[in-house]
Order: sequence, then C-alpha cells, then structure tokens
Amino acid sequence: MYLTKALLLIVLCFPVVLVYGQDTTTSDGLLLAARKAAFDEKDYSQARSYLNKALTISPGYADVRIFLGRIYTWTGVHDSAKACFEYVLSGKPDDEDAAVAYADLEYWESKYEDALRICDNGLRYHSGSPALLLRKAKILNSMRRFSAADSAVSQVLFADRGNSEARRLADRIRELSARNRVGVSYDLVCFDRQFNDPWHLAGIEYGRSTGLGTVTGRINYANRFKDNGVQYELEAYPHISRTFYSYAEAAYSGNVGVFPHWRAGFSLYANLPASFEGEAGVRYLKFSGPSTWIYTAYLGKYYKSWLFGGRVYITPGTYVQVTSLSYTLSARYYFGGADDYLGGSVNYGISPDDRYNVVQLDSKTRLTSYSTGLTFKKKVTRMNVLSASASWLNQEYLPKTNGNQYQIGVAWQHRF
Amino acid sequence: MKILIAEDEAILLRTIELRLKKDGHETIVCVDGREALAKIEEQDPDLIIADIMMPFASGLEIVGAAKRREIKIPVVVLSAMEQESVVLEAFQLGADDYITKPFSLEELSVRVKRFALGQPPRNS
Repeated sequence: MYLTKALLLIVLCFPVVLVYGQDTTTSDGLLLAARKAAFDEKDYSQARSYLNKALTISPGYADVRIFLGRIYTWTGVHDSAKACFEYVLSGKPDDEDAAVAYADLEYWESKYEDALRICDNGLRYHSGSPALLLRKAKILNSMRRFSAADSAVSQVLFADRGNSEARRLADRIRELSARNRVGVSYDLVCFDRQFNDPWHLAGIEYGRSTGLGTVTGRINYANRFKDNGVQYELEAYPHISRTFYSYAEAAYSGNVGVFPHWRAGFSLYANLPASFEGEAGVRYLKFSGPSTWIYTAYLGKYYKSWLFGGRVYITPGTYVQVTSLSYTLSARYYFGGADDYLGGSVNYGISPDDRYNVVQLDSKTRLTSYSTGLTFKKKVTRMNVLSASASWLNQEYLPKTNGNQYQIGVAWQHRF
Repeated sequence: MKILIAEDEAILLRTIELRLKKDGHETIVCVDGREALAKIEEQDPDLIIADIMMPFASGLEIVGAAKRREIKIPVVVLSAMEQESVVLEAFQLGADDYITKPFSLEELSVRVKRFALGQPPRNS
C-alpha cells in the first residue's frame, strides 16, 4: 500500500518528465522531442517551444539553436532564423551545420550573393564538405555561373559518385550551361536473314537551351532497302515546375518505308521523392495506312551510382490487331559526371522510340522480338561528348521465321 | 517469273522481295495500289502478289485490272485474318489464290512455285 502511494507521488510530482515517452528535462531530450514534434507531427510551434526551453538549460548548445533556426526558416520567420545562425557562427565559425542551414535560408530567399559568401566561409574550414559544395553548386547555378557550378558539383561527384541529388543537379547544370549544342551520329544495322542490304542511318542536330527548356532540331538520313530517305524532327523538353517537365516531339518524312510518314510524342515527367522519376506519355505513328497511338509509362530510380528503369509501351487493339505490349528494363552506371556512363537494356517487343526499328512497327501483325543493347557515353573534353552503342535484336519477322539484327553506332556532340 | 509485289507495309514488302529473289524470280515492288496499276501496264508481270488494303487503289482494283487484260495475269491476294468477305469478293473478281497474314515465307514460296509450274493453286 505504501509502495503504491509512493509511486503515485513520484508520478504526480514529475508530470512533465515524460511527454509521449520523451525526456523533456534535459536539452538533449528536448532536442529529440522537438525533432519528433517537427518531423512526425508537423507541430512547429511545439517544436519551437521545446527548443527555447532547451536553450534556457544549455544556451551554448549549437545543434539546438541551429534546429531552432531551421524551424524559423520553415515557418517564414527569417529574421529570427538569421539571428540563430549568426549566433552560432559568431561563436563557432567552423560549424558546418550552421553554415549549411544559413546558406539554405539565404538561397531560398534568393539572396544568392549572401548564400555564396556563407558557403565559401564554411568551405574554408571544410573544403570537401559535400553538403556545402552541393549548396554552392545550386547557388551558382541559380546565378547562371555554370562553369563554377559544374566545378562544385563535380567535386561532390568525384568524392561520392552515388550522390543522386548531385547527379541530377549536374544534369540540370549541363543542360543550362551550354546553351547551344551540335551533334552528328551514324548507325549501321546488319541482318543475317531478313534483308540482304544493311541499313545506314545518320543524323545532324542543333539544340538550344531556352528559358522554357531545351529545343532540338534534327535532320535524319537513312538508307534502307537501297532507298534513301530524310526525316525532319523537332524535339523539346519544356519545364513546368521544379517537379514536372515534359517532352514533346514531332517528325515528318516524305519517304514512307524508310521513315514513318509522321511520328510524334508527348510525355509528362516527374522528379519523385526518394530519387525516383516517373513518366507517362503517348506516341503517334503514321505510315501509309491507319495511324497508331501508343501509350507509355516509365519508372526510374537513382541508387548510388546507378539509374535503374522499367518502361512499358501499350498499343491498344483495333479491328485488325490485338493489344500489344513491349517492355524495357534498363540500368545505367555513372563512372563520372552526368555524361559519363555505361548503360544496358533488355527489351521485349519493338519500341516506337527505337530510331532504328520504328519502321518495323509498320505492320498489321505484331510478332515476338527480343533485344539487348549497350551504350557507352564519355565526356572527352569539357564541351565534347562521345558515345558508342551496340545492340542485338532477334525478331520473328514472319510466323516461325526468326532473324537476327546487329546495330553499331557512334555519336559526337559539341556544346558551346 | 517476273512477279509484281504490291504491299504498303515496307518491311513485309522487302521481306517478300528478298525471298522471291532468292527463289530465282525477278521482282517489281510497289508501295501502293496506284503504283501497282501503273506498273502492271508498264512491266507486264507473270504473277501479281497484292495486299487487299492499300492506299490509293485496293487489291480488288488490282485483281480487276489484271483480269481485264487480254492475257490475264494470275493474282495472289494477301489479306488480314478479318478480311474474309473481301477475299470472297476478290475471288468473284477472278483472284487465283490468297494467303492470310501473317504467313510464312515457305508457304508463299510453295504457292508461287505452283504458278511457275503452271499448276492450279490449292487455297489455304
């Protein structure tokens, strides 16, 4: 009985010791409680209250003050946030977390010069800090100082090839840094049975980064079945928001059979959380007969130095053909920057985005085909990128009649 | 034999052409019905292989043109599975044989051989 009363007294005397299992009597406990309130419950007011209480216990506890500054940043109380970060940095100029948080605040407020100064101060003490270098690259990219931004993000990728955020930033910087690019490509496709003569495909392109996104014009030449053909193509990647961007393409050729008469496409891309990316789109093909609409969906995931992807194409059935599906699984290993990778894919069916084989979709019947391919891309100098590809396709081009097809290709791109 | 092939699916057209050339025939290729009608007059083929559904002029028109000539030209009609009624119409116009897509090159080769030997076709 006495024991029960004693326990009851302890509980009543220390009502604030445990809040939802948190220790709120020490600054460490209050910091943990604040993190839980902020991240799990999105209760920033409660988090701020815990952190202010922690600072009354330990006024010099930098992590607590930095987190309080973060809370002020997220809730739009920028002056108070700034005061927190400056307080920490005045006592401890080499505090990396404070520099990162302060740089974020100034960056989000579009005060790029201030944000850059804070990053540079932090980098004076932590020259290889990926967090600071990544912020610096973002800031420089926003200031359109692309060369310096590229240098900063390259340092992050050099130290950590698997940093997917840095990889995506490097891609964006690359797109924006060189406003113009020209390229040439050549591909040779040989057959063991289906045709006697190989196919020759060549292309020249000019692309330009605009405020809306990248636009590319391309002229493609092909020689198939000893017939020559030319295709005119326009492609664009308009930006919609930080999360979404799109792809739009249209191509025309008067040489049906060598190329489709019309080819067009539209896709919506999304940069998803956890380094995922998704796409949903439609493709249009018109040869000499009725036109075809093909729907596509893609899901990709950046993991360390890899990009894995899966794609499906769906061609709805019509009165002359059943619904057909084709699939692609791909993997890409980055061994350097955004232009340095080795990629591979395995495919079932023929894709409308396959420039070599799209003409094989000019058929009322869909027969089985399997293919696999490799692509190697390498930035050889700052503004020059070389790539090489090879693929093999086994196709049932007529019932119970299979043939092999071999492709090799090279391409060069110069940016300026 | 001199064989005119009229087929708007470029890949199938070239696949048939290659096989018939390998079998020792001379080939004339046409990607639409209008071109086929013109080449029938110009080239005077020994056999016509024509797809039923083609731009500008259908396979039926080609059958009609081949059978209106003084020396009638045998015609093999290529059809999709769902075009049975059109095939019947082609036979009423005088088509000599038909093959349903997708078909094997062996089957086509054997059927063409029958015409080369002057044997009557046996429909599938």
